[in-house]
Amino acid sequence: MRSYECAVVLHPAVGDDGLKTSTAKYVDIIARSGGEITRVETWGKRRLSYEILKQAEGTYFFYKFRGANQLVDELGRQLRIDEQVLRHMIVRDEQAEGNEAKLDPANIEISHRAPEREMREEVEHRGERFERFERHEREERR
Amino acid sequence: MARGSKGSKDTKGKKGDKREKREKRPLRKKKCKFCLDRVTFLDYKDERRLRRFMTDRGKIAPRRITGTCAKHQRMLAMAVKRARLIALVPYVREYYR
Repeated sequence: MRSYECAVVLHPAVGDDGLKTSTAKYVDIIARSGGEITRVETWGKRRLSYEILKQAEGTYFFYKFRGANQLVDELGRQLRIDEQVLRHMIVRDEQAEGNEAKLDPANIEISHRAPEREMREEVEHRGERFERFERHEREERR
Repeated sequence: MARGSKGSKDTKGKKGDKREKREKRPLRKKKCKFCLDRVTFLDYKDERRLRRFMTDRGKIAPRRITGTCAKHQRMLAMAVKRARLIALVPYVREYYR
């Protein structure tokens, strides 16, 4: 068994009920394939850095779990079928110790984290950028 | 014009001044910021941190600018690419003129 982390970006039109059903669905898939869920996290609705399927926003979910490789295949297959999913990514969780407490699939607690970035922050950021590099780039484009 | 030659002295205070100054600035060896923090793993979800090592256009900043060591640059590249996939950071950002 290996530790994985799965990131899911859901369509912004999915309502609160839809989000619950969606989470329940993936939790169920993981649990049924013999996986152990260690954490479910959501960031709520957030701006995407680029449009996916004409959508500028998406709802982020992160699932941390342990399981066999067949589980990853199955989960990926289901995510690809789901039309509510704009984007998904399953990666190995390199930080995991492998002994995190297992959550009860029937009663999953979703941790919320506010979306970090706002446009304002992005502008503030620009000041401390790599001016030299930027200048070089601008010259290149000319 | 060779540096330190008589000719460069003549140009002092004139147009070439700015350039002279830049050449003379002592080279300060940059320290890898991740090494200073003893980073062993870079999370792709840590978007704010990743952006600090990207240009406005969305490119991964080169090591010669940020001073990142080879090991951490590899980790950074991996994290940025993952973050791009789930649209946390851009692949490109175009400027419209």
